[in-house]
Amino acid sequence: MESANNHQVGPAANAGEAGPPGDGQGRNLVELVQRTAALARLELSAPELEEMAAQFGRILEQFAVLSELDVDAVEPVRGRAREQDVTRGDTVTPSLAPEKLLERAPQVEDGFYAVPKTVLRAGAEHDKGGSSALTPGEDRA
Amino acid sequence: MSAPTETTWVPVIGLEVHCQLKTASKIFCGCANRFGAPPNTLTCPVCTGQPGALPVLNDTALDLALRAGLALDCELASVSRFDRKNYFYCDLPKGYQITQYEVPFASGGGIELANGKHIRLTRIHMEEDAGKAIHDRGTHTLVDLNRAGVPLIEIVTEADMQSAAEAFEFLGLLKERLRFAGVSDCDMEKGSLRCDVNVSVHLPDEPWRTKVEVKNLNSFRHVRTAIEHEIARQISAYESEDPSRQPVQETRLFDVDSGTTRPMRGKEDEGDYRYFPDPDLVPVSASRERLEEQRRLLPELPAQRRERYVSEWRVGAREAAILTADRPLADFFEATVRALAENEGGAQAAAKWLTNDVLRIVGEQGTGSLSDMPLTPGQLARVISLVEGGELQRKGAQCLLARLITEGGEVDSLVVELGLAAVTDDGQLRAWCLAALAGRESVAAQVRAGNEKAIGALMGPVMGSSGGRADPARVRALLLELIREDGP
Repeated sequence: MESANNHQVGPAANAGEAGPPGDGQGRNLVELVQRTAALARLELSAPELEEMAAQFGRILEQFAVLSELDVDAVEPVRGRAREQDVTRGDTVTPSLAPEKLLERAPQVEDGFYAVPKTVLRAGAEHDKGGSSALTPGEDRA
Repeated sequence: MSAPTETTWVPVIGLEVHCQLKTASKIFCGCANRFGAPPNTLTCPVCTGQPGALPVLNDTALDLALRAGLALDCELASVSRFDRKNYFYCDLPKGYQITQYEVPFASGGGIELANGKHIRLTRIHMEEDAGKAIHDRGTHTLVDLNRAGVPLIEIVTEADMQSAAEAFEFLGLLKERLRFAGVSDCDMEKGSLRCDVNVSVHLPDEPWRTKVEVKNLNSFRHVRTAIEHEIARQISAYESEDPSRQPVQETRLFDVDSGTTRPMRGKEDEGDYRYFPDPDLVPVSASRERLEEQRRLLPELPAQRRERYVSEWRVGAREAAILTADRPLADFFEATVRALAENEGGAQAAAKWLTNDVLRIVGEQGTGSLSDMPLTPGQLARVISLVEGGELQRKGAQCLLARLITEGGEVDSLVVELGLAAVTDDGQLRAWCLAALAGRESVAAQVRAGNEKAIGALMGPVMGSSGGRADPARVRALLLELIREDGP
C-alpha cells in the first residue's frame, strides 16, 4: 500500500498517547490497524503495520481534542447538507450499455463479471465479512 | 438434574425478512427494477459504484416503505437517515451497502396469529439490494449487478415465535399484508421475499441460550424444515452433553437436498460492519401529507376483509380465507358481489362459484392467475343470476365459465352458441325420462318397493340426454311421478 512518509515516524516519533511500542496501548493500536486492514482486505507488512499504527495514533490524538468540548446541547451534524428530502421521481432512465461497464472489468464471461471463486463447497468455512451468499443460487442482502 | 425430554425444551425463534419494493426504478438510480433481464443490462455508474456517482433516493421507494410500516402497525420516524454498512463481497460493488442503521424509518408494530399471539416487530429499515453471485458455473464466480440497488425493506421481528408452525403462519400473514398493501410481489421464487431465521432453545425458567442464524431459505417450506431441523439439532446437542457438539453463535446454511443446516463461516468477522452515516444522502422525513396519502392508498387488509365477508355477507370462513389469499381475487369477489346488488345470497353464491369452480378452472390452465384471464366480475355475476333464475344448470354454468375463463366472450350469446340454456319444457324432460325408463323396469320396481335411492340409476341417463341442461330436482320429481303413474 502507498505510505505517506512526510511525517517523522518510527519508534521515536510514536504518538504520545499511544505510548512507546510494547506498551499496552501501542499494542492495541497495532491490533486495531491490523484488524482494520484485514477488514479492508489490505495486506500490511510488519514494518508497515508499525508505521500505520504510529500515524493512526497521532490522528486519533488530534481528534481526541474534540472530545474535550462540551457538545451536549449541539445537534449532531450528519454530512454537509442541512437540507432534507432530496428525492427523485420513480422514473426509469436508460441504463448504461453493458459493454461500457464490463470493459473496465478484469474478466468477463457471458456478460457477467467473472471474479475468483468466492465459495467453498459444503462443510468448508469461509470468511466473508458478514454477508452470506455462499452457495449456488443463494440470495442475500 | 434428570435428563430432560424433548418436550421440555422451549424454542425461541425470530425472523429477518427482506422484501423487494415494487418500484419501477432502483432505489438510488434510474435503472429499471426488473427481474430476469440479461446480466448487467440494468446498471449504471450509481448502482455499480463508480467513483463520484451520487445516489438520490427514489420517493416511491420511500412511499412504499412507509405504507408497509402502516400496514404492519409500526411507529414511523418523522425523520430517518441512511448509513453505510461496510463489507467486501463481489456482489456489492461499492464495498458498502446503503442501509438504515441508527434511525430506521419504522419500529414496533406486529402481526397477530390465529391463536391470538402477537408477534412483535423490532424495526423495519430501507436498504439497497446486492447483486447476484453465481458460483456453480465454470471456474469463476459470475456476478450480475442488475439486482444491485433494487429497493428493499428489512423487517426484523422480536424472538416471539416458539415453533416452526408459528414462524410459517407469521410469514404467510406478513406476505399477505405486504401484497395487499401493494408494497411487494413477495415472490420467493423470484427472490422478492427472502427470510433468515434465528433459533435457540432453552429449558423453562432458564435464560435464553446461544442463538444460531440460518440463511439460504428460498421458500416458506424451507423455512419450516430448517427451523424444525435446527430445533432438533440443538436439543440433541445439549442433551448429548458432548462439549464438541454444544451450539455456538454462528451462521448456518440450509441445505435444500438434505433438509439440514451446516456452518457457514467463522464468526470472527461477524458484525464488524463499521456503520457510519452516509454523507451522500440527506435525511428523509415522513411528512404528515406523505403519511396521509399512504394511509389513503392502504387498502382494507385481508383480516378485516375476511371478517367483513363472514359477518356481513355470511360467507363461510373457509371460503373467506381462500378469497382473501390475494388481493386481485378479493377485489374480483367484491366486484362480483357489487354486480349482484350486494345481497347476502349473491355474496354466498359468488363465494361458492369462485372458490369451487372458477379457481379450479383457472388452476387447470396451468399458468396464470384469475386476473390474467378474460373473465370479468360482471360476467360471473350474470352467470350466477342465470343459475339462480333457473335459466342455466350447474353443469351448463361450469361449461360456460370454462369458456369465459379461457377465451372470453359474451355470456348470453355463448349460452345460445354452446346450447347451454336449461331445458325447462316439461314435455321434453318427460320424453327423456320415458326413454330412460324403457328397459329399466327392475329399477322402477325397486323404487315402487320403497327404495327411492334406486332412482339414481335413472337420473344419469336423463341428465346425459339433456347434456346437463336439465334441473336434477325436476327430473327426479318427474321420474317418481312417471313410475308411480305406471305402477300397479
